[in-house]
Amino acid sequence: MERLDLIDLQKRLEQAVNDAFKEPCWVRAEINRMDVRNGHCHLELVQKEPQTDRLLAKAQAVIWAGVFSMLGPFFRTTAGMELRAGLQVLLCVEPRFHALYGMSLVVSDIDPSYTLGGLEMERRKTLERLEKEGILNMNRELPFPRLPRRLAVISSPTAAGYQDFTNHLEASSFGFILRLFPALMQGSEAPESIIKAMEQVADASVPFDLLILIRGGGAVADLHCYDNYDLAAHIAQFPLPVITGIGHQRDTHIADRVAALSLKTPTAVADFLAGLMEQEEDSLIQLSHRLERAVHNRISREKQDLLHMIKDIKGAVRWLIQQHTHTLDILEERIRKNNPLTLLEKGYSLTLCAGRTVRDASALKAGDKVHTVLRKGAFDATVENIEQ
Amino acid sequence: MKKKTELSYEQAREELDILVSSLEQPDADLGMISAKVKRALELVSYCRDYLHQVQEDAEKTLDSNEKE
Repeated sequence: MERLDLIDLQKRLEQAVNDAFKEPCWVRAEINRMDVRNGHCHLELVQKEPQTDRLLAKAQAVIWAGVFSMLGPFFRTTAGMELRAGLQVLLCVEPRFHALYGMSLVVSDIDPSYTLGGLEMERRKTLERLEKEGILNMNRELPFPRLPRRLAVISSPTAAGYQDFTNHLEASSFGFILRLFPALMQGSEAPESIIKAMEQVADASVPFDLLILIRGGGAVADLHCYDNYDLAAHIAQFPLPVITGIGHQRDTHIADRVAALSLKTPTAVADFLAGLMEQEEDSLIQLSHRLERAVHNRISREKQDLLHMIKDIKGAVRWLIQQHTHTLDILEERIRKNNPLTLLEKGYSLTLCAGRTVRDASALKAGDKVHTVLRKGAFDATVENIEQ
Repeated sequence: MKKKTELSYEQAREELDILVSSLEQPDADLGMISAKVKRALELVSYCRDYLHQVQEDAEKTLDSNEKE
């Protein structure tokens, strides 16, 4: 059996690796750890058994500073996220063996579409799980408040997006009541931080109308956290309607999908809330105009009716007076007919005996005193002779 | 008609009806006829004035309501 110095063994291993991998190759792996030192990116790559997560393989890799300064921005702009631990990656590597440092994979390229494909698959699985558990649409089915004023906001207090959000709401002058629950809004620790803030909102003594999740905006950042199952499940089951304004430019995330309402930016959320108030204000103005018109129309109608009634009353009064006048005319005629003075005017006279009208001469006897009335004056006489 | 203001239209009409009926009786007391006729004609005049006043007041009130 051959006896070798360690250096010889390592040199032979180095040669064997070089001979085996004369060309670079593409390798699929998960980034288990990542560390950037002096511009060089050091990675620990692993492969796990899909069902059990048991470790099947592990290797160290490095992206030298000169390459990383190009690959880092390329990955960020293409995949919309930072290269980080937890991602499934497809790397172009040259396996190298160094006598002093051992085995290492030198990364020369990365395929972001592989990572995106993996994430998309994860997203689908998460959505399926939420649907299977019956919570996917729970938050969307909550009744949305007509006038949400008391707002619980989960955001980073120093984020530009949060400032934009508060500035827009203040400019609307609708008197919103805001309370901020600070949280990390991006990166791998964001889901846990946001969930903690959501629990604080739920436990707050003051009731809120809405929960709003808004992120800072600015540079393209890693928003993979908004596809996290735990965060999505908490949003879906939150007792208040949730609005997200995460500020992403690409596809929506699962957090957006489960929230009652998803808008692109914090400013859009503020404008939406102010818009609800404006709509309500407009609606009230419309209602007051309708009320005014209705009252005006009703009063006009009533006035018209009254005018008609007044005319009817006038007619009735005239008719009544006419009737009474007619009756008086008849009475007057009857009085005039029975007025004996009319006959006296014509030369006739009236003769009274003992206060009674004398109509028949046989009612008198000689010597009776009679009183005769003429048109003008009267005289008394004594009956001397009677003719029958 | 000395106390015109104290007499209502209905009272005047009632009195008038009685007077006319009595004047129409064949055995009406002629000694009172002249006075009754005079009273009846006064009542007719009173009733006419009353009706005229009622119509004028009513129309005045209704006209002022119409203008409002």
